[in-house]
Parts: sequence; C-alpha cells; structure tokens
Amino acid sequence: MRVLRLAALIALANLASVPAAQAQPAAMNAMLQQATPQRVPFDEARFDSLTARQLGEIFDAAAAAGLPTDKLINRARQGAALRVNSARIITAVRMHAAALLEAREVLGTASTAAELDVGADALKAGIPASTLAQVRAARTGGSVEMPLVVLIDLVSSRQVPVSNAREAVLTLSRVPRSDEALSSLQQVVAKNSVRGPGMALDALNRYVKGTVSGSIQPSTPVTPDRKPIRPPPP
Amino acid sequence: MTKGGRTLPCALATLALLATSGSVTRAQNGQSPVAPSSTIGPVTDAPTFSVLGLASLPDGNQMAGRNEVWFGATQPLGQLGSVRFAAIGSGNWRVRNTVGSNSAYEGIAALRARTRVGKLRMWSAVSYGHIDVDGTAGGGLLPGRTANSPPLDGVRADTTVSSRVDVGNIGRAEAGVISNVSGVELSFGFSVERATRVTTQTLTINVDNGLPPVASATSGGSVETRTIRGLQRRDIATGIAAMGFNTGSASWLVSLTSPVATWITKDDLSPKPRVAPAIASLAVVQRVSGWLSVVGAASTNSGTVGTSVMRDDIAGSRKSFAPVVALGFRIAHLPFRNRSDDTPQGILSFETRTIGGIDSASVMQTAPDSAPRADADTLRVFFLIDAPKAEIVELMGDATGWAVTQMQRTPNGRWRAELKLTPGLHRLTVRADGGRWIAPPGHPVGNDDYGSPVGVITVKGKQ
Repeated sequence: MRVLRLAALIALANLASVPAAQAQPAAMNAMLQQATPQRVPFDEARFDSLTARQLGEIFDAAAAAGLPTDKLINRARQGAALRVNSARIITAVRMHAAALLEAREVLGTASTAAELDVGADALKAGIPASTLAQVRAARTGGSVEMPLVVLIDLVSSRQVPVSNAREAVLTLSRVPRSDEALSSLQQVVAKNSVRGPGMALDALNRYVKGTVSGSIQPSTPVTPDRKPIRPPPP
Repeated sequence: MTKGGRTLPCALATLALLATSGSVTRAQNGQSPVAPSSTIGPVTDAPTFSVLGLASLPDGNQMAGRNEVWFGATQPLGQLGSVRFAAIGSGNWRVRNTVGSNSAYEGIAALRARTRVGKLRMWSAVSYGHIDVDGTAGGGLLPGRTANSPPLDGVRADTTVSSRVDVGNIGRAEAGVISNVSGVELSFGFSVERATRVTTQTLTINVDNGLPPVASATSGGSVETRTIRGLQRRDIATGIAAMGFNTGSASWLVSLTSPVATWITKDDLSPKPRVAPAIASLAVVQRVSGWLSVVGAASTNSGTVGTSVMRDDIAGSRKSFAPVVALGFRIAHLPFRNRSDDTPQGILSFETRTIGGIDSASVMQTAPDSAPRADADTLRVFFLIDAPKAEIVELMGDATGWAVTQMQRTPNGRWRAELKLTPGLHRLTVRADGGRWIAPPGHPVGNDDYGSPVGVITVKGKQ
C-alpha cells in the first residue's frame, strides 16, 4: 500500500507540473487499472466530456491514494462556476491533488480532510512545509485548520512576511482559546493592512504581544478605535 | 433573477427593449406609427453596451422583412434618496430592403427610476423616440409578382407609389413592479404612449381618360403624379409582462407586450387601421467572460403591416406574423477597472457609482448544542451580508456545491442566506449586483486557484 501511495504521489506530482495538454493519460490509466476498484462519482454534467473524463481520472487516482476527493471535486466545481477554461480547471485540480499528498506527508496521515485541504492551500500559497510541521507540532491534539487559514490570509492577502506570520501563528496557537485569538488576529491585521504592509505588521506584533501578556483578550473587538501606530524607523 | 436565485443580468432588459423596439421599426412599413415597447425588465443598473444584428426569418413576411443593426446602452445616473436613476438609449439602422424600403433609422432615449418598497422593486420610465423611414420601394418585386405582371388594379386607376417617407415621434410613460417567486423574477408593467407619424406619399397614377396612351403606360390613359401627406396620431395603453430565470450560466427572459387599449385620434391615410400587435420575445444571454456575453433573441414581431392605398392589391403579400431573430454581444462590467473598488478607469470611465458594494459579512449561529440540525452532521446557520446599496447579493461556495445562490434581503438592508454546514471552515465567495466575486469582508481570504478571491467562514461545533 505504501508503494501504491508513493506511485500515486509521483504520478500526481508529475501531472501537476505539466500543462494539461501534456497530461499522461496512459500512465494514469495504468495506475487506475491497478488501484481503482470503482470510479468516484461527481457532477460530470457541469463539464464538457473531455474535461469530465480527465477530472474523473484525477479523482479516481486521488481516491486510490486515499485523498479526500470531495475537496478536489469542489475545486473543479469552483472553476466551472467561475467559468474558467477547462485546461485551467484540470491544472488547478491536479495541483491541489499533489498539494494534498504533500500536506498529508507533512501533517500526518491522521489529519482530517479539512486539515489536508487547508494544508494544501498553504503549500500552494508558498508557505514552507516545515512551517506546516511546526504548526502541527504546536497544535498537538487540536486542529490546524484555523492556524493555517490565518497564516494563508496573512501571507497571501496582507503582505505579512512569512517569518513574522509564522511566529505569530505559532505563538497564538499555544494560548488558550487559540482559535478565537487567531481569528481576532486575522481581523485586526486585515483592518490595518489597508493602510499598508507596515501597518499590518505593526498590528500583528502589537496584537500578539498584547495577547501573550494578557492585555488583549481574544474577544477584543476586531476593529479597535485606536489608530495603528507606525513602527519607528530602524 | 434566479435559479436557486441568481441575478438576471441587465442585458435582458436591454433585450426586452430590443425585441420590442424591433416592432417599432417593422411597423413603419405600414400605418402603425410606433408599436408599444417596454424599456423595462428585471434589471440592475450596471452599465452595458450591446450590439446585435437582427434578421427576419426566411419565411417571414417579405413586406415586413428587415435586416438591421441594433445598438443599446444602459448607464446609471446616480441615486436620489432610495431612488436610482439610469439612462437607457437604443438605436437601430435598417439595411435597405429591396421590397419594403430603402432605409430606416430610429432612436429612443429613456430615463428610468427604480426603487424598492419592502420586498417589491418598482420602476418607472419616460421615453422619447424618433423614427425616420424612407419607404420608397427599393426596386424589388412584391411577392407573387413578376416583371411581366399586369399593373396593380386599383378601383379607378392603376397606381404606383414612387416615393414614401414616414417620420414619427413617440413619447411614452411606463411603470411596473418586479417580484421574485421561487427563484423566478416576474415583472409586470403598464405603459401609455402617444405616437405621431407624418407620411408623405407620391403616387404615379395611370388614368384612363380615353386619350392615346403615353409611351410609358401599359394601358390607355395619361400619367398623373399626386403627393399625399397624412398625419396619424395614436394613443395606446400597453400591458408589459416579463419573466426571467437562469439555467446554469445562461440567463433567459421571456416577455410579452400587448396593447390593452388604442385610441386613434387622427388618421388621414388609413380609415380602418389595425391596432398595434402583441409581441412575444425570448432572449438569452450566455456569459463568456466577466464582461462579455453572447446574446441571442427571437421575437414574434407580429402584427399588421397596416393599411394603405395599396392595401387591396397586395393584401396577399402581407402576413400577420413575421418573426425575427437576433444575435450579438453585450459588454458589461467594463474591463478597465481599478481592482480595489471596481471603479472603471480608462477611456470607458463613465460609470458614476460603484456597483453594489458589500460592507461586511458575518455568520449567525445559535449555540451549537441547541442549533437546529439539518441532519446528524450539519447545522443550519445564517450567513449575513451588509450591503444596503445592493440590489441583489449572491453567494456560492462549498456549501452550495458552487452553485450561485441569491441571498434574501431583510428590511434593515442586510442580506441573509440559510446554509446547512458542518462545523469547521468553509470556502465561500460573494458578489453584489452582478459585480466581481469577492471574499466576504471580515473573513480570512483563502488561497486563490482561479484569480477570484475566496473567503473562509467558520462554523463552530460542539466544544
């Protein structure tokens, strides 16, 4: 079984790295014949027949590899809903499948489907696998969904450097009621990021410091009236 | 407009105008000066520009046949209190018809006001239009006639219309109400219009007066030329009904305009004019990209060609049903936008407001232990959006299978959708007034696979 998973990982990773037009249906079919007892059902009518067939092959391979196919199906649905072209949908689904595999390797096989989904998003957002492992270690026994979602938001949408975001998330992941604290952190940073990356970083540092010291409670309103203070020049 | 509740694009309103304004032009072939038309449909105020080519079906009425290019545009003008104003303009140019006329053009401008009263949306509009038709026969032969056919047989003489020009004006006022029933948007309205047309005809008459025939005449008699000028004025009240819905990414509009009363106050040329016709139309808009749609439409364009001094001679050539089809494209949600606030930029920067902004979003959830459960694993939660200026707010995400779902407006200007979600994180995206899909404000933004932001909402489970 371990060998089969590795084969699926290699196949998906390879497929994700090439354009859809250069996909390798023969290799995929060979893997499916060995590994897929039955096809994964999905709403094929939302796609053209060629796209549906290619997606079906990806879903089948993912199922054989033990990946959560519902997450992949939702990525495909999202692409169809946004009316992006078929090649882009297939590429996105393949990349997500490969990212799911890598996320499982990093977060562990006991991770939930939702955790793997967010982990895959984090990897695609450029967050290092080592950071995911650190988050997992910091949340032993707990879900890594919220820390990773906040991490993705901070890095991708708020222009917070990965190192700063990582330290903040890891710190807050260890405090009591950490999900609330992380959620509040995201909202405070988002509120301040409209004034620039410096303001976002300042808000992040102040919130983490205040939370750890106990001066800020996780239930603090997400839009504090106090105007953020720009950090002093170095 | 909705299927599972989705916005009916404003293009459909444009098409409602298209399909019915088509009848306006068509009517110029006969005595009907201007047929009633609707400028209103279930719409939003997003700026649009449409270009369509119209053609009569091959087996349509040859006398009424037409091929033309149609332009239409909608432009929001702003808001006064809760009333939104928009300008609607349309125009068309008819290609020379070998039988019917040389050319024709028309233009109609409308000012539309819309507001919301409770759950009902109401609209009203005033329109003014001008039509100019060179109705001189283009040199072709009437159906059933050949070059050797005997001349037309009038009561006392053979006549030929050597030139004919129609100039018409129309003023119209209309109002109606829009409601949403089970995801289908229904619009009912009423219009009153006054149409005035001046027709100038020059007749060549071959009079049999017993004198030796002239060289050009085919029978004995002399040739006289008479110019007749007639004024027709008509008031008409029209009922307007439209129904819009979505199937997948295609939006449909079915509309019917039918005269309910007609008063002809003056008609010099047509003692017994027929009333304006009822017109049924079907339009579909298939979105190609965020700002470009392919548009198709068909209309019965039925009705009389009208009466004239030639009526008896070519009655067999006139049919009361002349369907037309149209195909074109629509530009909406201009591509030259500032990505931060949807304000268009560049040469097409004429939009006066931002399309329905979404201020904030939140998830309302009762205590998980007491929350009503859809089944063993899911909770019923309410997703709330603050968008008081929006006409329509929609969402889609994992919870809806990425099907567009229209949110319900609450009296305080918020929008609400009931979702069945499992505890945990869920990916979601929203939009207002058919604008860009955005992540719900106030929620984390997830990784973006397709260039369209996705938000992540949290549903709390048992602790």
